Amino acid sequence: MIRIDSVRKQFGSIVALDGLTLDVRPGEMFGLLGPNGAGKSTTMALLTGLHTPDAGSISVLGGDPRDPALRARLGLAPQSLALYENLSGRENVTFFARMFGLRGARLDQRVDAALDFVQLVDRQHDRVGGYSGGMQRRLNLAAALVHEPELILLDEPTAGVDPQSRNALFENVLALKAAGRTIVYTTHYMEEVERLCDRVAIIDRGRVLAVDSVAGLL
Amino acid sequence: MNALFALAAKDIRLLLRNRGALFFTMGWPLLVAIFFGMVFGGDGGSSRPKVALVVQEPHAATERFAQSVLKLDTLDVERVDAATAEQLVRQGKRSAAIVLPAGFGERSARAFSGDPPQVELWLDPSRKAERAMIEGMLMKLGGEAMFANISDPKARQQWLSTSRADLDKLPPESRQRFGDFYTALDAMMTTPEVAGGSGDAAAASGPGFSPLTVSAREITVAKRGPRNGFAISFTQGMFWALLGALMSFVTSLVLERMQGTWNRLRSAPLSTASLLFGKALACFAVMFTSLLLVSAVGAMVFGVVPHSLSKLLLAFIASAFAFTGLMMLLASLGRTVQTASGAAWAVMMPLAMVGGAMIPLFVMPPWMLELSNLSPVKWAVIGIEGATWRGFSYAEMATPIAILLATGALCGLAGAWRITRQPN
Ligand SMILES: Nc1ncnc2c1ncn2[C@@H]1O[C@H](COP(=O)(O)OP(=O)(O)OP(=O)(O)O)[C@@H](O)[C@H]1O
Ligand SMILES: [Mg+2]
Repeated sequence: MIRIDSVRKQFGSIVALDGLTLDVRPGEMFGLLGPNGAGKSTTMALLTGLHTPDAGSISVLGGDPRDPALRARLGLAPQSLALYENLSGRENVTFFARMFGLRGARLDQRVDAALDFVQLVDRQHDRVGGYSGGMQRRLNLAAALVHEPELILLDEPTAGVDPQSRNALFENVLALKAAGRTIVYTTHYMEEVERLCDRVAIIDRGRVLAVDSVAGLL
Repeated sequence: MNALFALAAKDIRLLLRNRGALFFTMGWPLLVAIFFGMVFGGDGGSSRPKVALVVQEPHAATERFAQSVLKLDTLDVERVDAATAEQLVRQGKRSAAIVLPAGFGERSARAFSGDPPQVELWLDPSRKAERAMIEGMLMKLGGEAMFANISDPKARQQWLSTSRADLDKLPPESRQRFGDFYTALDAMMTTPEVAGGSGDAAAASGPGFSPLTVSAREITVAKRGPRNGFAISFTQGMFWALLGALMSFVTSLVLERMQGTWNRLRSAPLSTASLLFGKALACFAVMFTSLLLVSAVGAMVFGVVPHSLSKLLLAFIASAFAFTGLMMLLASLGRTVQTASGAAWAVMMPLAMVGGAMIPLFVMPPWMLELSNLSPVKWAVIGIEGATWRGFSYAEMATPIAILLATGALCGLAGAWRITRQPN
């Protein structure tokens, strides 16, 4: 599903990834656990073709993520909320769905499903600027799922979310997993990894310190 | 294609929800157009016609008539010499010149013999309304002058004596009648009630008689300046519409790149080039629409009617294209809203200043006109003016249109090239 081999990525003098190697298998929920600045978001950016590695190779869904056609099968929920505050929740999700080529009846049907999935149907016509942080997080997830991607990349989906909403989000993620999606999930918290992931990589300073099943790491 | 339209529609929707940006692309341009139109003197037709007055002989009666013309409050009269008057009319600065030629005073001192005094009117053949209005006023003044001749005792004596002296020139059968008439008139005017009568003497003149004649001399106005102050100010308003849209899209593009949405869009199956194309499409659509809006208000409310609608649309398309390209280039100059919009102002203001968006091109000194060729703003202004009041042919429109299209393409490509190569 994903193969990252000895990837190096530098921003000026800062080495973000320093020979990172990872494998993610189809249908698994893979955790990326690490402190601030470990290189988690940089890895996500490489997986969606936003950055090009300085060295090493990346293969996603059997291809290069810089190929636009391949990106249609990926869904990224970025760490920094990527939403238009002056559009309603529904307008945001509809817009991103169009960007992934959805149209017509399927577009409406998928937008309904995505909003329902994150329980935002009753607030769908309100402007996102008026949403709470937790609601924005959930909408951020809906926008990543609306086109039914095979591979879902969730970059700290629980940042700034209260415990109750966090549980709702966990339910969402587990439902996606049950539906057979492959998921990469980044977090600072061991407990989230324990609860959700099949396997986990602990990374720091752009390097993998350990990769194993959750049980194996404990 | 679906995605490109969705991209553009999203930006337009966001602009419509941003009151400030909306004001600067649609409201402010109209305010500029209306305010400066009024400062430039507004609509020439609604205020008093401006005329020049030329007196070509020193004669007491002529001078009296000239003074009565100067006192008219329905005309804005300036007394000048013949050469100046001709020049003023030719340049369109005065609608007409009223010329009192040699012999005017002499003729007006005679009552019913010889030709009536003649006034020349110099004006552009197209100024039919002004001509009718000025002729009417001159006739009235002529009648009043004649009435003044007979109602003022001293002037009457003088007028009657010249008129009596002229009786010899009349055919013998008329001599007696006019002689009797003058005597009767003199006797009647000595009666106080009549002497105090109204000055409306046009009624006093018999049928087929005219107190003066007006002959017109055509002076074609050289098409240098527009007829109407709003014609200049609405072109300036259109520049502000372009600038307002340019600034809001520079901001929107930089802001989008700073926010997470740009990366989310880049993770979609679209190239960065198509994302930029979507932005450009929205920018172009907004510019074109606000140009249409400003020109519609100009045409419907302020009489700024283009001489050719298709040429105007051509100028709008080319101008919006050029400014969209400029937007792209300027947005690539800064990574924050402050730096990018600062750079955009720093570039656009001098271009506007020399480009005729602030000082009208037709009043620019030659050195500045030369300099203005470097500004794309000038070519937008020329294109729009060419279609509005300069009366350009398609051949004359070709230069500004070609320069605008080239500017848009070059700046747009350079900006897009820079942005796609900048790391995120
Ligand atoms: N666009 C960039 N320009 C410069 N440096 C960058 C850029 N992106 C990431 N970095 C640097 O790369 C390193 C890894 O950053 P990254 O965002 O991948 O960390 P992270 O694991 O996601 O951290 P966090 O948990 O705080 O989100 C950091 O030192 C960061 O400063
Ligand atoms: Mg991160």
